Amino acid sequence: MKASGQSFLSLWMVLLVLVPVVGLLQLKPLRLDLTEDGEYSLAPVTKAMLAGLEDRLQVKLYFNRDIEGAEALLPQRLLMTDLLDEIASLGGDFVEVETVDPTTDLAAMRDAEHVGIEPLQLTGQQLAGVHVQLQYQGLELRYQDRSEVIPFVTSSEFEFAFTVRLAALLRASRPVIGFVSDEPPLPRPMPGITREIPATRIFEHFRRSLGERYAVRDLDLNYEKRIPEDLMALVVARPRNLATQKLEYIDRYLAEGGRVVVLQDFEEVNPATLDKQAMQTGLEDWLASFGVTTDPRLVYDNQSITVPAGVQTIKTPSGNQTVPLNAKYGFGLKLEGNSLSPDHIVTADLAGVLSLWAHPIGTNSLVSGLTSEPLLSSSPQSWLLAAETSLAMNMGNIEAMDQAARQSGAPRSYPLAVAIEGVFPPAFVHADFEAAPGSLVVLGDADLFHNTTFASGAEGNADLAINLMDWIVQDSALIALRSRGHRQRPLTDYAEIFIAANGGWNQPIEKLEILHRDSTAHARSMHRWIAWGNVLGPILLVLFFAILHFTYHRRRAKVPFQMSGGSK
Amino acid sequence: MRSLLIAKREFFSTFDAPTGYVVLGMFPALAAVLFFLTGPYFALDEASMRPFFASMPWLLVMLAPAITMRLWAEERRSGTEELLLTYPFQLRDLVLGKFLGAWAVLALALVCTVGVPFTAAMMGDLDWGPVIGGYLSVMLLGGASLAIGLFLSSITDNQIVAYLLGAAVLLGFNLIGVAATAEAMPEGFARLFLMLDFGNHFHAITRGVLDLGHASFYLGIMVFFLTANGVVLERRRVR
Repeated sequence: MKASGQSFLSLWMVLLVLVPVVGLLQLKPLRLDLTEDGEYSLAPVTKAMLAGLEDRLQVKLYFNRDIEGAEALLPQRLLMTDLLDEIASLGGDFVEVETVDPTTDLAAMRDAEHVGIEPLQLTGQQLAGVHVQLQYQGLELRYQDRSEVIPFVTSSEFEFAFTVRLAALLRASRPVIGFVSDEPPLPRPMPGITREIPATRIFEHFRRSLGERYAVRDLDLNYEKRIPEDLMALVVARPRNLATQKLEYIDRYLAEGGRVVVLQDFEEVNPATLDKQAMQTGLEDWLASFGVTTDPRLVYDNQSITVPAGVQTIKTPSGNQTVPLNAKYGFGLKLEGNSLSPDHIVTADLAGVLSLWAHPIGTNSLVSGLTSEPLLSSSPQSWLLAAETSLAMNMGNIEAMDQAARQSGAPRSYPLAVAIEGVFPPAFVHADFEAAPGSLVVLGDADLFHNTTFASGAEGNADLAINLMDWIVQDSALIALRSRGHRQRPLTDYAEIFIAANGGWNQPIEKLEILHRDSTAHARSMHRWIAWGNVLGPILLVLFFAILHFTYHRRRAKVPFQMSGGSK
Repeated sequence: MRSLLIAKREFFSTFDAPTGYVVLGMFPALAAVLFFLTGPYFALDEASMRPFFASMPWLLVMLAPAITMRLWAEERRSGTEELLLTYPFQLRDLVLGKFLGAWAVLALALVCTVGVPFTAAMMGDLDWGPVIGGYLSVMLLGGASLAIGLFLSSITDNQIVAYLLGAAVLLGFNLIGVAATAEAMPEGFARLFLMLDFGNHFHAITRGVLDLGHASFYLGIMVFFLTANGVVLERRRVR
């Protein structure tokens, strides 16, 4: 009985030692990040910012604990709190982290409302009927008299979102980006009246996207007689016949070391009707003065989006059925893989970009002192079609475009966006002018950042816009941070390999349909082989060893027992 | 050293009966079925082993008690436990030996699954960090599960009861984190439940971060249940 009591005591002793030791190790993170990109460790840029804190940084998490029906959020939240622990640990006394639950704490709910953190409304089905659940996942940062808010933060974007806000807090004011376009101004805000955004303000989503990090200011160059000096960069978004006087201001800004992004285009397309109107931006000659050539012809690419191009009737056992007919629309370029320059930080880690009605940009005759790098280019299976080509998405037009493209000559890749750096020679004569190295990015498609493109969920386009701006205002560390862990790791495309082995895409459309069907069947069959190989492989291997093992033992059992070293 | 001798004996005795091979063959096969056939691997079009490791806690709920159920229960039922307890081994050696033997069986079962990451690596640019983290975390989670299974096997003489008890307790440890998210749960309990949740610690390591805090949780569970196992045997020896 005494021994039994002692053994129970030893169990309690073990528990008494284990609990504090394990608890202590949970509090003090000692960790080794094994991922290739160090995805789960704070980036040097974040660490540097935390090291530079001079005052207390308050981080307030608005998380509701009851996530019934949205359990998928749990790993995300654990990851975020994990990163926040690291932040608090690095920030020492300067970082204070607090978590509140607005669904149970009235004061926290009011605070959330006050700072602009709104819950995500999730609708679920229950026995009693449909119910709506509020999910809070916001973050508020306070530093000195300034505050920044992330209304709904996700784990994949967490560190980037946090660092960007922290950078904004550490700066007294946000960097300003100027915007020159022909869009109408926003109506003045009126108390109690929702401000209507004019439909012709086609880059509003682009502005809002930039607005998360920058202060975006519309410039009216009729009144401002020069580009303001406090600008970090200037966006010239598809103006119509830009007046020479305004161009002079831009020219001076660039020649004196400014940073300019030009959205060049040759037509204005109504996204609903696909009617187009030819236009000139007035920037063509100015760009040509640096050796940058623009081309009104449209790029037609085989690596393109699929669109509903009509309907077809097919015979089925239950009668004729009308089904949608999809076709590749060569003017809707899917820029992915090598179409996004792997050597430039702006595009290296982008997943994909959608470009509609793009034009090629040439930099072969660039003036001395300037260097250029391509950012976007079409696939090697691209051609140029006349500017007058109809943009309609019906099957007849798509087939005609395809035929015209193949008859126009050998396909090749065309640059669609370039980044140029160096000392830009002024195209105009300026008084009191001082030359300095500047940057110019020319995109051959303004629709890359059109509201419709952004609204269609082309996330790559939004990322491209921000990356571009971060690079041009020389915040490359943040680009690297945003793309961390977002590297695409696609599986081998057996369908594509099959197509390449059977003549590639450069074939008549009827043959392509058969090829497409066969390639899909081939890919499925490969997947089946891989899956079943992995399922049956270990079973067969174990079976083989089992048979070997039992056969050996049976044979040994049949051998008569012999005394070792005994006489016969 | 003596515990290693016992571990060796336990490891090889697992394969004296066909059930050992069944367990060894079924585990990788089931893991591959859940990953390639019923899982979203091809649909996701991404060279990632996350879905593979995500199914591991549930597979271990079935596998770990299957490995441990006979270790003490069978000895007790067949009457060899008393004999074993009279051997000139310390209880610590006996418990540790049986545990290490079972852990080695689990390691062998995991070795049988290495074809899966190699297939994934052949099909795309696989990040090996999370794969290494994944296997380490399965070994840690498996170790904790085996320690619990071993303890439960020592308190009964019926293998089926030991298996069912083990599966139920492990299921509880895997679901306790979900309970922590309920609104009605008091804050303190919620924190405790989250800390005890196997999945919480498991997923933290499978993402590719080797964290001493999470690893120590599993090691703590192992130490506690192995000690408890020793206490049960000690009490029986005294009687």
